[in-house]
Amino acid sequence: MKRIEEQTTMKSDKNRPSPTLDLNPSVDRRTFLQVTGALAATAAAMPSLLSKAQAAPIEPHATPDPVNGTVINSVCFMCHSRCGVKATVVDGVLVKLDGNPYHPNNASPDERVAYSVPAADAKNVRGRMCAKGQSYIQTLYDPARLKSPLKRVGPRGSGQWKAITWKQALDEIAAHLKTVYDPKTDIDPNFPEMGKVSNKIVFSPGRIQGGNLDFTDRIFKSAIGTANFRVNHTSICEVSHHTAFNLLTDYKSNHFKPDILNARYLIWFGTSPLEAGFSHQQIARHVSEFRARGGKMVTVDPRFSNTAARSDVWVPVKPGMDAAFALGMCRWIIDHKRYDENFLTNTKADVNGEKSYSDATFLVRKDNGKFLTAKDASGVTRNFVWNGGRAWMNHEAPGAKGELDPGEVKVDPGDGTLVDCQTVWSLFVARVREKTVAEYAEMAGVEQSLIEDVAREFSAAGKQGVANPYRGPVKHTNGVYGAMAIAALNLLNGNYDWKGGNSKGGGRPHYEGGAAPGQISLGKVPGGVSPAGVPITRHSKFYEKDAPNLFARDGYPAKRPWAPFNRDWNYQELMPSIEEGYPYSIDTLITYWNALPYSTPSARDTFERVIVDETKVKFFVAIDILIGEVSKYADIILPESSSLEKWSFPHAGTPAIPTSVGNFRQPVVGSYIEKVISGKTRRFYVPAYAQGNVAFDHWRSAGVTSGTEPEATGPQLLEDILIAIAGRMGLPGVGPNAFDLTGAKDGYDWRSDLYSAWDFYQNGLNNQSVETGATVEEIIAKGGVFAPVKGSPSDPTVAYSGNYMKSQFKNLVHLYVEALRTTKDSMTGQVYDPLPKVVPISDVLDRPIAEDPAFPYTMVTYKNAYHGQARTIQNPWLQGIKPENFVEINPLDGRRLGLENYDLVRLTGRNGATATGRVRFTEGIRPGVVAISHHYGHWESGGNPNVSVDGQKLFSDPARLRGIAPNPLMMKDPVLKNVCLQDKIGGSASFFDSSVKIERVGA
Amino acid sequence: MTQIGWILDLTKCVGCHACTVACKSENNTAPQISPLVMRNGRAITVDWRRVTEIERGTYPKVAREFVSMACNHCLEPACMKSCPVGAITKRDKDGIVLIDQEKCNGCRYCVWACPWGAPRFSEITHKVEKCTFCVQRIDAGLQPACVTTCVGRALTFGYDVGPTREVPEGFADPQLTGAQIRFVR
Amino acid sequence: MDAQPEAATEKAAGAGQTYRFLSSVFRQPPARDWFERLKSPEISTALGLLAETFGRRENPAALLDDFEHLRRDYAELFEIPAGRFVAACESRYVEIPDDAAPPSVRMLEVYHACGFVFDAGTPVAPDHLSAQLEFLGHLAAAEEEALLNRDDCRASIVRLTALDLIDYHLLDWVPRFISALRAVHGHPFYVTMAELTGDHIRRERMRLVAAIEGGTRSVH
Repeated sequence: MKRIEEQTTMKSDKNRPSPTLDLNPSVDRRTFLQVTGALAATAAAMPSLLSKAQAAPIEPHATPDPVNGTVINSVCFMCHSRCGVKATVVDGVLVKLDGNPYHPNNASPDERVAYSVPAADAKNVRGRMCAKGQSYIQTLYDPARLKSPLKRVGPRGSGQWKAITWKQALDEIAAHLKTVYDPKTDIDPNFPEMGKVSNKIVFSPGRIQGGNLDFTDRIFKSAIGTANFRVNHTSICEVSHHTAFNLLTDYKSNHFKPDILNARYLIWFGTSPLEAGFSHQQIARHVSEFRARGGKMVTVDPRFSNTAARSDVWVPVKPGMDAAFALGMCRWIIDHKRYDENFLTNTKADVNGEKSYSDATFLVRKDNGKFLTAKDASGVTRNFVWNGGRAWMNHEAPGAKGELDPGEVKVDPGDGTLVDCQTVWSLFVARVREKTVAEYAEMAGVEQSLIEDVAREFSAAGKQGVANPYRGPVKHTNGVYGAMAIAALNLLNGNYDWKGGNSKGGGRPHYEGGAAPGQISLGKVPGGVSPAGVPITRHSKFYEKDAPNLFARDGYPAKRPWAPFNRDWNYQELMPSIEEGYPYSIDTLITYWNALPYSTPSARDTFERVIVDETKVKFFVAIDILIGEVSKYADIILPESSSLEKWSFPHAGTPAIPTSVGNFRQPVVGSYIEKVISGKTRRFYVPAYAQGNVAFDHWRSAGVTSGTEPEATGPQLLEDILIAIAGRMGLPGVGPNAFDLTGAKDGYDWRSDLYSAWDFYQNGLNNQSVETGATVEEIIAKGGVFAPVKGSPSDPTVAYSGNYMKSQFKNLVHLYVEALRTTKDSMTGQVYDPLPKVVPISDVLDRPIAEDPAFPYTMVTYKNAYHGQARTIQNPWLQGIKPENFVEINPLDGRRLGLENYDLVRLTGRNGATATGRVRFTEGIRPGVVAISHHYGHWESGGNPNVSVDGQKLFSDPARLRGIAPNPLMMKDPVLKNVCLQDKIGGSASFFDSSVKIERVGA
Repeated sequence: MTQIGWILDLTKCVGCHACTVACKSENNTAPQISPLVMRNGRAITVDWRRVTEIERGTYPKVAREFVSMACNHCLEPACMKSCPVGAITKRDKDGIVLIDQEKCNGCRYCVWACPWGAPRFSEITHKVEKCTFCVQRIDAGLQPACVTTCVGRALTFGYDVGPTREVPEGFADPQLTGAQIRFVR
Repeated sequence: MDAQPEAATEKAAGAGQTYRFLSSVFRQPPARDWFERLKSPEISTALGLLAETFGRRENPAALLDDFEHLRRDYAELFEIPAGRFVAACESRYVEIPDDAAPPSVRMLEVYHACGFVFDAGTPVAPDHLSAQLEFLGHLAAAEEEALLNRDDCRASIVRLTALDLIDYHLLDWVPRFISALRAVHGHPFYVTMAELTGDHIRRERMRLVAAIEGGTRSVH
């Protein structure tokens, strides 16, 4: 590529003598004329520029060959949508990425290629693909990619590195890990809940997907046995939403999405499917179809998102007050009896024309707030409901009906006592009626009529009216209550499992096994261990119950919050917990695809303080494709292949797809070393920019195989790196007999040994094939297996069963969360409220955060459709769309601040952090709110010009540093001081509760 | 002669810029590889297709529209008339307007003449490039890259799409040159 | 009015020939016969004298060391838009507002207004230095012709056109071009030729200002 050099411009040279008006006296005029004549004659051959032109036919601009080239279907990873990708490769070079035409994310049902069509016949059919995904090619060929393992020279973070061989890097890492690895000895015998010494090895993949995570679990969880086997990022994503739905469904489903193609009325709460969310492009397309059909749409968001721009109603809600808007709607719907009484009075699943049901009729004990339950004759615990003047077990109620509000009733649960009870519905209604619609409107900062109008239209749409929350309402300290309030709206409409209603999605085949006879368990490690004790981030663990000795020592408040309801990881607590050594100190940190200080609210200072402290983190290995905000501080960086050079089974994940999606990601470039070991051909993958393979090198030096292939250099597969480390450490789970093949279906190439990543993925492919009936060859050729395997994707019976979704939740969705009523908060010792409510933004001790007039602007973040979070800025096609982001404010605020549009401003957060950026005025934002997109303002990621390896400067692109990163400006918890504000129930980081000061610094 | 042309459904465009990147990827327009070159705060890029966002109104009554725009392959291309070296031609069979990169002298007269700013000056080659309707794909019986990728299914193409009646705000009069784009709303 | 009509005519003729020569230097890659011709005693002497009129002691012809070197440098400097590329076009050096015509377009308009039609058999933009020098050469020739015809009015108009191009464009841009060439260590011959171009333009400006009746333009 050509590089345009900046030209330095200079004014004319002042030292030159001024030319005289006339000729130099030594040359007379006549001589001069002869001189110039002679010179001009040398120009005789010069064609004249000033004469007539002639027209002639032309050839078009040269472009890549559209039809020749190898096509490989795989899965994208420029965001988390996990869309299919169709790679066109010419002479081993990736030249174009498109959507996989078989994949439901890349093609609507009416245009998707039927799975039965052979891949060769679909070679020239392209699926759709967003801007991010298409530019992935530039990540693959990014000049900033690391080409060798690096070892730091000088202190952590100094940016000075030396290149080392894979052998040296892996020998050093394995040698250190051996000194820590101990899955048998307690960290502290007085505190068995701290688990074993292996817990001091922490693996933190910022983002990791299906297949890859099963593999790293194999090594870190089952072989090394650390409870900190996968500290991933989900708690800075949307965990409060997951936690809320887990609580509302008894952990049966953490995510629902509307069946957009058949819905009539949609309310997007704090989510902009036209720009973000997953699967962005599929939902965006379906929204377009929905609107073309005449569907009505509402967007609740302080920012006028692209989705709001396409909506019929924009509700510029006050940040954090989504629950007020939703409960205001609930109030109107209840007062006007517009709720679905048939749905709400059902006492069990699959009755009276409904598939799922609610707990509205369930009786709650007045004494302790628990559900009134008893075991039935077969020993199953049942809830009680009230019908016809008496209580019934819910499965036996006449007509499967219960009364919504029989008033206070006395019930004998079967033990001879009489217990005072009320229904969930009566408690919910009482809660909702604590405020009037006008009061809710006041709290939400919107007109009362807006709540009433939206409530009227939403309830009129009935089963085809769906409210969907994502990050907006939940990334607050009150996040779970926001999600619960919105979830209640869907229960009032009774829209679960209905065509055009709320859908749990079509799921995925189980590459990991355990779902169909003939599959094997990909996760089971013969001779492996189970981690003991609590993870350092204390998620899924109850303070009193799971850490009795720590509780006995510290009581309330705990030293740091516990997140018992969060089933993901508590990412924002990782570095602060390491800093405080709570519950225990660690030794080794291994990161993968991690941008914690860039991505996590208010985390940069804590991260950079802790990571350079060699007493807190004794050994730090980063696995990365370039030097990022995290890997900058590593002791050793291992260069990894990109996700276009990788196998995975990324979970389809999103319930927006009503049919089953079995993704298979595979390398689109690179080559293989093939060796027969133990009677089977083993494929060792050699990524682009690499030669050799680290796993092969290991088995060769161990005498298992042989060959003259060169020693590995360049980026390598995550799995092969871990095989080489585990092999050196003698861990179970790799090498011979790494899988239990009991029950494996005949006719497949099952692998009992694990010599390379391919052995693992071959077994996963076999599992996908066993469950779906598609052949392994088909799955490879088509980049996965997508229902229907036979038949047409446009056939409605593929996704629907009459008026219902074909894939149904068919289960209980709560209005009332008993676990909240019975669990004590680790910081206050108080139980939580079991019902949705409007809660002020609070610190970790539940004290409301007082507004600070010095910081008058509430900051919200969002995503552009053409960028992901931390890993897209390296793609110049995307950079070119908008080279930097803006500090977006309402012109009213701009004038108040004396700003001109595009002035340079400095933002100061309440944590003292500052950042500068250009202000942009937009009418599309609530006054008092400032919006900043989250993709720009990196400080590493190939943008830092001061990084050198062996004294040579590494490539850097200063344009990657442009713009402003909002996350470091966010507020810290006033009590804990080294972490952002958090939703303790959700176990998740607050993103939208921080305020900033804005000052002009220049034009 | 049939005349090729665009059809853009303004209600379906989601403003995602996938078409912009599809065009760059298909036609390898600059910048192809990092780093992004900036000059005086402007990125040195050559985008044959761009998406313009038009915001109107006052809080809270705001509207935003997205218009994806490339070359409209006009019936009477102003660029072709303006070109002093005859580098711009219009194909007989389908009316696709092309710039011969060998002949273009980079004078940018066409950039000046086009009412829609479709011709893009490349600071790298010092010539003017523009949308070719993916002529190599059209000739192979395939669809242009922007159409195959359009996330909202807003952008399609056809032959003799006829004059547009609907015009987004700020769009020059299509009658000026017979612009081959039909807006649907 | 110039006091000596004959002198004025010769000055215009000399200026025009100088433009034509300088234009040819930047127009196209050096050809071997052109290179040899420049080194011939006749031409190298002429080149030395031209330089001398600007107070230069060194003969630029002495800088013509090796043809291949010169040819390679021309390609790197002016043909291949890569590392050392120094475009001989104004548009390389100025920000063009979105609503303004680029210099090339303005130049086309100027050529058109003066009765010329721009042609590009070679890939040279209308605002390329050599095109502008050729244009100034044409103007000088037109001036000379007007003077021979005793058409002082026409001569003044032509002079004003030339002065406009020098004042509003070349006077500012040529020094930028020179420093860009120096910055990338362009071949000393091309650097010197660019410097001579600057010298010539500055002298031309003075000549034109002095010759234009009334001399109302300030010289700075």
